[in-house]
Amino acid sequence: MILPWLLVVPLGGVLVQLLAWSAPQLQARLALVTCTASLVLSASLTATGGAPPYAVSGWPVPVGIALQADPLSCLMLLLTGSVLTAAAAYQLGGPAHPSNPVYHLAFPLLLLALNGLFVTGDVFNFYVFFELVAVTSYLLVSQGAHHALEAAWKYSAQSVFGSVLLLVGVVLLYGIGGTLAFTDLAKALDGPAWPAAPFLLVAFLLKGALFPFHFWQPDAHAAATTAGSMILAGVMINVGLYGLYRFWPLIGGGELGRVVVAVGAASLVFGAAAAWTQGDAKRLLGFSSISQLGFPLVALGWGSVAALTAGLYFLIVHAVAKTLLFATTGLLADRVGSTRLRALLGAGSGRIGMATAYLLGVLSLAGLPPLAGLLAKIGLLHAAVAESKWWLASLILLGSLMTLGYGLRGFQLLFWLPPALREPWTVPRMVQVVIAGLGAVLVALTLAAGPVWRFCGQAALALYPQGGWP
Amino acid sequence: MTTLLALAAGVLFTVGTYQLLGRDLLRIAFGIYLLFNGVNVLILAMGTVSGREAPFAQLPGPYVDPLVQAFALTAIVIGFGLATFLLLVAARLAATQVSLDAEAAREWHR
Repeated sequence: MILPWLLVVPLGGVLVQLLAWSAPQLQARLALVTCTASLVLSASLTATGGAPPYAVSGWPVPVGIALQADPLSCLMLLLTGSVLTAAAAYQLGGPAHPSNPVYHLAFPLLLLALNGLFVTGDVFNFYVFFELVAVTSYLLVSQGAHHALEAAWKYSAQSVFGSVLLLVGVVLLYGIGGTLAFTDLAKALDGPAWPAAPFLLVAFLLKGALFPFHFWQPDAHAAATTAGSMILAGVMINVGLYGLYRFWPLIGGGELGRVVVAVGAASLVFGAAAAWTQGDAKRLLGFSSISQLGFPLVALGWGSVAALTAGLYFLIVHAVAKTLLFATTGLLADRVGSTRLRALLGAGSGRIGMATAYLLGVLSLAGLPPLAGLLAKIGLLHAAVAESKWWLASLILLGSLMTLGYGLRGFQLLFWLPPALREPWTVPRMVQVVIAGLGAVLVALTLAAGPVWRFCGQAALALYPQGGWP
Repeated sequence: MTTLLALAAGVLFTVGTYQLLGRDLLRIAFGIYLLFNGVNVLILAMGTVSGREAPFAQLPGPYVDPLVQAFALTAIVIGFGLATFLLLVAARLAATQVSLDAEAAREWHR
């Protein structure tokens, strides 16, 4: 009976925060409490191995609304809880405090929308929660730096176009299958629903900011507050990938798989090349996300359960590592008052803890042994070599190498140059906890790779009981 | 009837997409609103409108699909809300930089 509480707790958080409207500090505290409570709920849900479908207020499924939690939902719920808790803690203890009450309200609202998105059992509620996630994230982006409004416009206009496409896709799915529940739709459709496929594909690629649809993402990252960037990188862009993984059993098939592999590969190379040339510390990380999300996309286009497992594992590793990178970079940027690399040269020099955290994030993404990203990439390479797709294997290696290149460039500019003359400052206690906690999660993902990998495997197998799409 | 709905949806999508391609922020917002209304027509078309009764228990069947009309209602509300939000952001942008031109917003950013 945990499932409904995943929605009730954030909703309660929203209401309580509305009462504390005029006290931003109290609101930030309440946001942290709500996010932590949701994280605990998600963890206990995962520990009990997911939940069977739950009919809301007792109405049976064809009439009522069902909530469900399979391993994939649990994985995303845990990720959401962790990232939002980290971001709320940073917001509470970090240096920058926007005093706009609406901004603090975004945390429980976003939690409500994301939890709903991951546990919903039917496609139309998926659309409604997707929209709620989108609107709340516009709120997060629009509250940042001086050019935030322009970035918010760019983001919202493109993302709203994506939601139009998602709605078309969902409605077409209903028109073809005649039902809304994911499980019933999979049975009702004979073969992939190809008319809905292009709409859903473009909608999710826009949300995930993959290569041809990435325009909004680096700007949104650079303009958002540090906590906002952490959420954008840790959860928001992964929502697009989650949608693709979730809808793929309904729309995926031979030719579309090849398209997705091509898009993923293009994303991989383009994002990495663009990240190398950035002059802004947060845009560098934003372009890096475009590149990194290419890996799970290629894995999806591949289709075997082994590749999907590696893709999901890498999705988790990337989300945690990128949240960590944005936390460290954002702290420096908040101190200096600029996100430009030129202003940040040597800003973190002598800060051993932060430098270690940044390096840990970069090396995890690049897949340096023995860190977490390595396992995902070995999984992908193994699948590539087994099917003797050599060009794909070399592309994955090239992507990893480029990750190492631009990641170390960022590390060198931020941490390895002689410090400019600045007054000494201390990292706030709460931010130390956030950075150490995210680093610990990354290390735990490496040390406990076996169980996590098996859980990702269960998630992939729950989507494709027959062992991969044909 | 289905042909008519298909035509209407097609026209709304075409005009909406055309408006999206300009530089005027207001036009982009209205274009998106037109797109949403195109989807609403598409949703209605899913429910086989012609020759069916309204879904009331007093009327003899066959009924139109009531679920589709519930979708349309939800989609109208969401589309209206999003269009309002976009107009609001456009208005704020115009107030801070005295222009509704997307290129001007970009210059201002630098």
